[in-house]
Amino acid sequence: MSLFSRRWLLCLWGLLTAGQALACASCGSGGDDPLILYPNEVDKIYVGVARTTALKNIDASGHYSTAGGPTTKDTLSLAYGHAFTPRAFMTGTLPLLRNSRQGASKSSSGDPSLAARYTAIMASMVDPWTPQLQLLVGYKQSLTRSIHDSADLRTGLDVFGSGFSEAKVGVDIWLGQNAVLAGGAISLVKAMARSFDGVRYEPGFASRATATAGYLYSSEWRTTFGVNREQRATLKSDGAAQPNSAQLNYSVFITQDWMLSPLADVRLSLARRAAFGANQNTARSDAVTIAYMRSY
Amino acid sequence: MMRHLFALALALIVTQACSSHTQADAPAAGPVRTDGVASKNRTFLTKLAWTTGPVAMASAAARLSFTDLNDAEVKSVDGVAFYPWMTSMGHGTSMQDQKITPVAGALGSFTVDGIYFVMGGVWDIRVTATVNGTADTATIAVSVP
Repeated sequence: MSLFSRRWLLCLWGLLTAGQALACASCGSGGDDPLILYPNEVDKIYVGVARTTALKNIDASGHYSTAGGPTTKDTLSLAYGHAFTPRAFMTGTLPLLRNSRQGASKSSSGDPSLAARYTAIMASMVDPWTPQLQLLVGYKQSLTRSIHDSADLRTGLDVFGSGFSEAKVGVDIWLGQNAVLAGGAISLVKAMARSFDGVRYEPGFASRATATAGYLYSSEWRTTFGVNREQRATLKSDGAAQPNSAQLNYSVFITQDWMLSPLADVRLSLARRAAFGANQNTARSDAVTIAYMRSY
Repeated sequence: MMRHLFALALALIVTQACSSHTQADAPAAGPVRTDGVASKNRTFLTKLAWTTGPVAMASAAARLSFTDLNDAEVKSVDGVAFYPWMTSMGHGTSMQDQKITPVAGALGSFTVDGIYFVMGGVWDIRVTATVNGTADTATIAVSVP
């Protein structure tokens, strides 16, 4: 397998967890780990800019309503990754965010996150049908304002996070040594309970499943397409389950990758949350992301 | 290069087509007027009639009235609070402009101005009052477009 092929294969791993936290459009969201290291890389950086627009809320009955809060969300994601062995690496991500509405805007750093992956089964160069299997863990620390402690609830411009730290575990499987690519991933997310204004909030367990398919045109170009299903169980407040608070979101994404060199990639992604299916208590939005990655 | 652009465009079209049939807009507005809703401990009935809105990200107004469980006039109503709460998301809204005023000559009736819903969706309005000397809370659901 060529160096480029391995890069493409591993690039796709990043897509498998390219989800976002659930919750309404005004309620903040946390990105996932965007950076993946290839086995031959030791250090790598990621710089990505994203713009999210067309926000609408979807209630428990599946009806659209006004999102409230910012109408445009811009994100600059900075990530760094370090590999400890060819099978194991860790990444850290810090988003910088800007919320805008009607000419007004506010900026803040987002919730930082750490993630680690271990390749339990390496892809076989002998058998292209042997999938790769990665185990992943991650943690996102809630530091930014959420809708629960917003000082500007009238505009929601200061809402930059969900308000809850999250830990996740998951598994990625990927078949990427042929021209036609396919994979799937699932992760479980536990948001840590927290009190705001004397009320103890306990978000339910969340799960995130992703199916991805793609095509490798050449060593420089690849297109992938995927769907995400994100689900979160009922929210509890002071121990009491809140009715109609379970969340469900079906999203789609398409990504075009361009390898500038053996060390540098450029990626353009388009994503739509709540794109199909019976979404509930979530937000519809469109996002475009362009990212640059370079290894050292 | 062209086939990549084509693939991107095709995906956008497909997602647009999918999404246009999966969700419906919210009902045009919340109820203009609610029938009497009993408080948690059955101390009073409260009725809510919207005079402006409800609507998200703009000021709404309503008339709030209290009666006993037989829909008869009460002797006193004090300490009225009107607190919108989005139960499904676990948060409230801005209260900075809200003003509750007794209606002259109509015991148990109040106007609530400056009601601000920070987003659309299903809200629970927690109405708290001390009626005939007993404090209690009623919860009224409203769909905000």
